[in-house]
Amino acid sequence: MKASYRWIQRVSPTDQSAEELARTLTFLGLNVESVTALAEVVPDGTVMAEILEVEDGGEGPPVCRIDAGDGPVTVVSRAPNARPGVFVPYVPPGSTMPDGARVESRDFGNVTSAGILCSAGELGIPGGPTEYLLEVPVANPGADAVETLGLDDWILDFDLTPNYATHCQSIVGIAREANAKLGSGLHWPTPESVEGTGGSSARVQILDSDGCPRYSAMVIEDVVVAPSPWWLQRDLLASGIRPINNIVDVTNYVMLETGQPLHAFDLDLLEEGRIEVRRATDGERLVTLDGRERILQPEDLVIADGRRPVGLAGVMGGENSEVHAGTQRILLESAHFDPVRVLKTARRLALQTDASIRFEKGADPEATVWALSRVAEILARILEAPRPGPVQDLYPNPPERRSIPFDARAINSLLGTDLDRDRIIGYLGRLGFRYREDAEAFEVPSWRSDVHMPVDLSEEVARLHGYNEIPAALPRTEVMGYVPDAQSAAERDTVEYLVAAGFHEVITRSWMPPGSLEVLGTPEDHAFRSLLPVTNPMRDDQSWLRSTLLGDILRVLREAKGVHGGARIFELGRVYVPRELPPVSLPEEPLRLAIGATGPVSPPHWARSEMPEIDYYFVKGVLEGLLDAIGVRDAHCVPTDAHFLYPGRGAALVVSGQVVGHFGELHPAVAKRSDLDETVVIGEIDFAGVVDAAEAHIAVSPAPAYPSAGRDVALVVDESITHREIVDCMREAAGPLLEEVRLFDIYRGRPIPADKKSLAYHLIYRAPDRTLTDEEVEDIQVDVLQALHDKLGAELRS
Amino acid sequence: MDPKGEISEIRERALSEIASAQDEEEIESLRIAYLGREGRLTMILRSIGGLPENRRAEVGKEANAAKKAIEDALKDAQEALAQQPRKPSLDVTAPGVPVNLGTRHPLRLVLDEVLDIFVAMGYSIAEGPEVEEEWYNFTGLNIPEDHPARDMQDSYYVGQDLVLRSQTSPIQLRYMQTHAPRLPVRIVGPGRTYRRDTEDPSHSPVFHQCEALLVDKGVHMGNLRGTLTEFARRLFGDAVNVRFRPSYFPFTEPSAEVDVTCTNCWERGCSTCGGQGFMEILGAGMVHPRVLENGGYSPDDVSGFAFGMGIERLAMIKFGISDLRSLYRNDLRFLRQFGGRLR
Repeated sequence: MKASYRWIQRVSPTDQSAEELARTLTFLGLNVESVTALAEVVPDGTVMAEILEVEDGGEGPPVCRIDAGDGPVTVVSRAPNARPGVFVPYVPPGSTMPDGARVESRDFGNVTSAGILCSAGELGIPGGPTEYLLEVPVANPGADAVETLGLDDWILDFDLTPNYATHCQSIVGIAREANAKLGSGLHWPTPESVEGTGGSSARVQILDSDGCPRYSAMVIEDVVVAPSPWWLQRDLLASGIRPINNIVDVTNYVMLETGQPLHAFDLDLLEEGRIEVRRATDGERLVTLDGRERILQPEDLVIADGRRPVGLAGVMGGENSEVHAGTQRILLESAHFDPVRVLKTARRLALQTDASIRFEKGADPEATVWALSRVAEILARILEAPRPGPVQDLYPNPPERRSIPFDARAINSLLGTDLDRDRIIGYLGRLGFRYREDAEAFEVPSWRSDVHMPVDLSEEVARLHGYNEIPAALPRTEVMGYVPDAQSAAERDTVEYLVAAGFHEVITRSWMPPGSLEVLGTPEDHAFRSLLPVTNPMRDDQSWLRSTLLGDILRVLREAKGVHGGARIFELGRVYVPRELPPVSLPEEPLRLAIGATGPVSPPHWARSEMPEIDYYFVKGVLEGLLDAIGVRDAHCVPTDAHFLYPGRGAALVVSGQVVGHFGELHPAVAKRSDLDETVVIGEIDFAGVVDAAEAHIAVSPAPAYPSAGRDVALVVDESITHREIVDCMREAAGPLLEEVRLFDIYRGRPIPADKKSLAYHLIYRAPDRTLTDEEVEDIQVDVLQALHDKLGAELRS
Repeated sequence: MDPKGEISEIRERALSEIASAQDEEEIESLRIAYLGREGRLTMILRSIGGLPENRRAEVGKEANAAKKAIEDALKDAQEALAQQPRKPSLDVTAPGVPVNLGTRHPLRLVLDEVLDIFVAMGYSIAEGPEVEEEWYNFTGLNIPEDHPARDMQDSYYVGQDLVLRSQTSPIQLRYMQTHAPRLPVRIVGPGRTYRRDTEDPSHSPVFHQCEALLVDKGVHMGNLRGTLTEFARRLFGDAVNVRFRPSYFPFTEPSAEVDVTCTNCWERGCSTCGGQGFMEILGAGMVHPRVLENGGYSPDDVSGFAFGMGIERLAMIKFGISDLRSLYRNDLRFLRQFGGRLR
């Protein structure tokens, strides 16, 4: 909401500047977003001028003789209200208008027009009317227009949180807060009663008192619709509201002033001249003031006349009963509506108005008659001879005043302060809370629908005292240091390890990138396809939560194509696995580790020959190192037919007998669909599965005391025989004295036959308690070779 | 010629030649020239037998002394040569062989730092589900049924009754419920959160928060100020100030927005902080009595504070990033800058 600084200042006469006041209010909780000058662009030298006479200009525009302080000046003006005896702003030649145009003397036939008479809009006041001259009834010719017209004002733009929106969407509400903090006084408008001076009574009926707990109304006859006087327009403009006509302007003015939304109906347009407040019937239609037809539902509350809706309660009036140029009798509405009903209707119709934003936060039910009287008072002041009728006030069930027990100690102990009772009573008193000594309680003012509990009082005290005045102190509580659980510790270790291994961490969003299941070639019944649907995505790419991190890994790799030095990335993030569809219970959210790598194993360097490219074995080494780093000992790889991996060039990672994930070279079809190279290596691993297998225990044996004995052997085996089979066979045959087996070469090609390969191993033998003799080692070695021959058909390579 | 004179001359000459020898090869050829089978001193030694008896001992002694001197000189020269640097100089300014290091994601860097600070202050880390029951995300947090946040406009729903948590605060409730009635409750809860915001330089529908909660007997708002001041100074340096502005959150009362000195202008006001001199870093407040009750604690006996911060926002401040979206684009050329850790 926007509010005029000068207007606030009139109600609570603070000497703080607009900027200072904005800051004070912000630190009270009334967040001021911006402060802008009302007359920022008013042309230099603009002064007040009296129009002395107006002559018909013949073919040209009418010619005005004016007095701008230095004797008569001639200016032309087509404005309808240019007439002798009024005072208007005058911009002399030489000044520059807000639109950048330079003001000069101009010839119109036989007259020379020296300067411009201005409308509010032409002076650059945002929202100012442009169709007539800004006029005031009294002024000194030649006086500074900015001062005379009250343009030295600032617009405070508030962004209020819901708890202050209840009672601070008004000048009075803001001034009340300013006064509570600054003690600057509070000049509450107390309208003089003007009711019952001849007008007829309003005929009103409430048919839905849940939706409308109170309806106050008044008829005023003999009104003349015209532009509002400048002082009224000015206050509206400085509060961001565009003047329309005197009737509408006064209702807006009083809404701004008191926070009570008001509406004026043209009484003669109300069928049967009466009002009823009721639920809409299903499908009922109403054209609102903005010219749009609204189709209503029974939850909507309408103001109806004898036959049809004439307004959407608390939201917007209807076109059919709008005040217009010829209106003579009005019915003023000042009502209280249920906040939730107003909110729902305004939301459903996407129709937020000055009235609805006040009602939906909870307006003051006690303000209706006050505001109505204020409207009548102002109309009596600005109209010739209006005839207001009596106030009709339907308020079937006034709520009881809430009281909240007062406990100064509780307030102090929550805030960490040491304020004495009187001070607290003073703080709350200035906000309108009445202390009742007999009951040891505060009576909550009617405008504070946000205050219900003792803690609400604590907040009021805290903000008036000043949050930043509360002494800061670290809490004194028993401290028990935190020891991370296995998974969090492993998470950190994993990130640290992979970073040290040259991998960059990526963090991607939780959605399943559209089309990624297809890109990955995911089979119909695969677990990746069990996706959790988002009920209300904002975009198509938010329709599903991800079941795999691989879609995003491929995207990041694709976008990294051409980045110097290749790419190695990982993400440690959750995927979302529904337990049933449609989802009713919480899904599983397992943490996954995904990696992707391509490019040289190490950055190129001037002193090194060409670097080998990342391949399956590189990534396998990284993963083996990771498992080692987090304490997983029981792990191995087996061939896999995972759909996204190159057939025969990827593995399933088996940890403690469980497959926890897959990695390997990218399937050529997946590579093609994702615009990547086949040499890309990717993988995804269930992190919990890995962590569960980690051993917290580290088995230690003493460093060897006796030397080892090494033997090299080159074997020729069928292509189908795996390294793992060979090692298992060696170990079984050799027994515990075989300490280590190292593969140091795999060779294919002549003279090895085509369907065979040669593997060269270095075997290390050692006994814990003695130096092995050559004969001992030789004996074992013979057994090993025999077993390799018998079980795997391995021959020694000659 | 007098053999003694000859020996002395050979010795002088040999020693001088050895002294000026440049390399192993030269030393070796000098050894051969003097001490080799045909060497000059060898010849002398061999000829001693032909000398008159009375001179043999004298000359022999002289010759052996010369031989020893030459041998010593050769050995010294060899050793001296061995100690002398012979390899060519390097261009020490040429690039070293790079160690291939990766980087933590900037969000991880900031989150780890935040967690480290709180862990050092005695907080434990707690997590919770991202797909959450409405009760934990709204009702239990004192967010009423008709609150706009519950609207399908603002929060993502999964199925009928599950919601993608719109803040990490449900972690508070879940932790309190499993921990009650033990005291103190002292946790930080990091994680992903979701709001139906259109992506722009400061909004992302998926973002990260970190929540903190302390519940104990006698916890007050001064403690909240003390804790946040300590936190801010550990995160941004000892010179920063913290200031509170009253605000509103359904789950805390009193509630505050918390600002910290803009580390770009040090409270003078600049474009980074919109001329404020301060930057908003988190929302905080005293835990609402209803939330304590929902967590299984009696608001008559205990009180607590809670606060929550956006990790993206902190990362943007710490690294001077102006567009939040760059954190999710994962452009390697961007990520490669985040080497090391924050503390």
